[in-house]
Amino acid sequence: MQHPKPYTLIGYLKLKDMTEELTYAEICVKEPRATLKFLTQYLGFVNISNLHNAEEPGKPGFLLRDKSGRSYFIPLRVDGDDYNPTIILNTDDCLRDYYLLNKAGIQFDGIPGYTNDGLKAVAVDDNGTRYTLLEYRDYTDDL
Amino acid sequence: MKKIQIINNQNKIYSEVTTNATYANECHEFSIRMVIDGHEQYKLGNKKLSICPGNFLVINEGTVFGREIYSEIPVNTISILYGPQFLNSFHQSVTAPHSFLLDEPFFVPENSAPVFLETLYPLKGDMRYNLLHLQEIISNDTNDDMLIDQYLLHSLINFYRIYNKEILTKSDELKALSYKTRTELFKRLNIAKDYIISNYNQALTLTEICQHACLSQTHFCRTFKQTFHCSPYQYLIQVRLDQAKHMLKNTHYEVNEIVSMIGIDNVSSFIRFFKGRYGKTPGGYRAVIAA
Repeated sequence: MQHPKPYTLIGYLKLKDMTEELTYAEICVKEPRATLKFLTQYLGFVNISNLHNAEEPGKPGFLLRDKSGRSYFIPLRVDGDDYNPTIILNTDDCLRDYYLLNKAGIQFDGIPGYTNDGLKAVAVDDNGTRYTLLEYRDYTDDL
Repeated sequence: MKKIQIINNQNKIYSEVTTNATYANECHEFSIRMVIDGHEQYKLGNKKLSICPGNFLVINEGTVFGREIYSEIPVNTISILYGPQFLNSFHQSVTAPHSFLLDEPFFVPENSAPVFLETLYPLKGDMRYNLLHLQEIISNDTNDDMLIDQYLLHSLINFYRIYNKEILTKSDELKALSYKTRTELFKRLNIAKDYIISNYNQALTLTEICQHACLSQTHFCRTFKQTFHCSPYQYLIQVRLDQAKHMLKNTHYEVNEIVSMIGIDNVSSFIRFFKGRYGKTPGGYRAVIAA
């Protein structure tokens, strides 16, 4: 089954800022190559520029783009405490994506669970980086 | 158009889009039944119920019922039928102590089928999201049983939560009464609630609702408010506003047409009620949805 809608990455924004439209975000992780592999191999992100940062020349990393045209930069080196503890990916159907990614071999930390913001499932890559698949649900609008 | 999908574990999904259908003397496994659009009428014994968007009905295994659709617009219905083994196993997993589940992981006692109150439940929150996703998956002709099972399992998880909130917690609101009296009273209050939901577009009177529920007016009004935290009239208005909101969002009916379809006498009262409840006029709400 093909994934019907592209993922977008919310990065490290807090949930309350979710409505903000991102065109560029920096994702700081301990293992950039593992994150690159995870996002491109399983989630359909495209690596458009290896070891290059157009915004800050001289800072090496990977420039990714999602299918909606947003760009994300994964720097190779990050200072001490600036890692994103969890990368949040939004989805329009968490159960479907949990199932499809699980089937593709992705490890999850437990089964999808309900939160005040919607349904979420936490995927973990080989290096322990956590990716929260979040299906935001508006519980105030029921019909 | 009618479709029946049987999953490996004997769970089934019935979906149908029709303007006219009658089914008599049906008897199945435990089922959860909903409509995406329109209304579907059910007859369970002497009880007549109408499922509309925003509600779902559960029917226990073995209950004999009839159902009918008669509509100018196509009615889109979905029913999930849970195989007895799947349901009993799930019920055991959420009700038995952990120590027992560890000692006897595959034991499911015979005759352990749970029996739920056959009433209309609010289709909202996670239940609504999951069932709408399921509907999309089915309409795309997906035949991946394990994917469909994800939705069926989560719909059951959601239903148990709703049951806990709508039945167990609300019946506890009548705690001053003995268990037997409380159970009977709660049953009658739900008959009244179902009657209101099923006939929201009619000119209902309090006398008529009380007669239907076999309760005196003062007793009914006092205990209804105690249980549902609003008066029967406020409950009726809320059902009407919910249906109006659904129509504003999902149809092209004019506001005055919607008013005539939900049982409110005049447009100005409707606009006042709607604005009071949702903070926007019906036109304003529709404009926000369209934006």
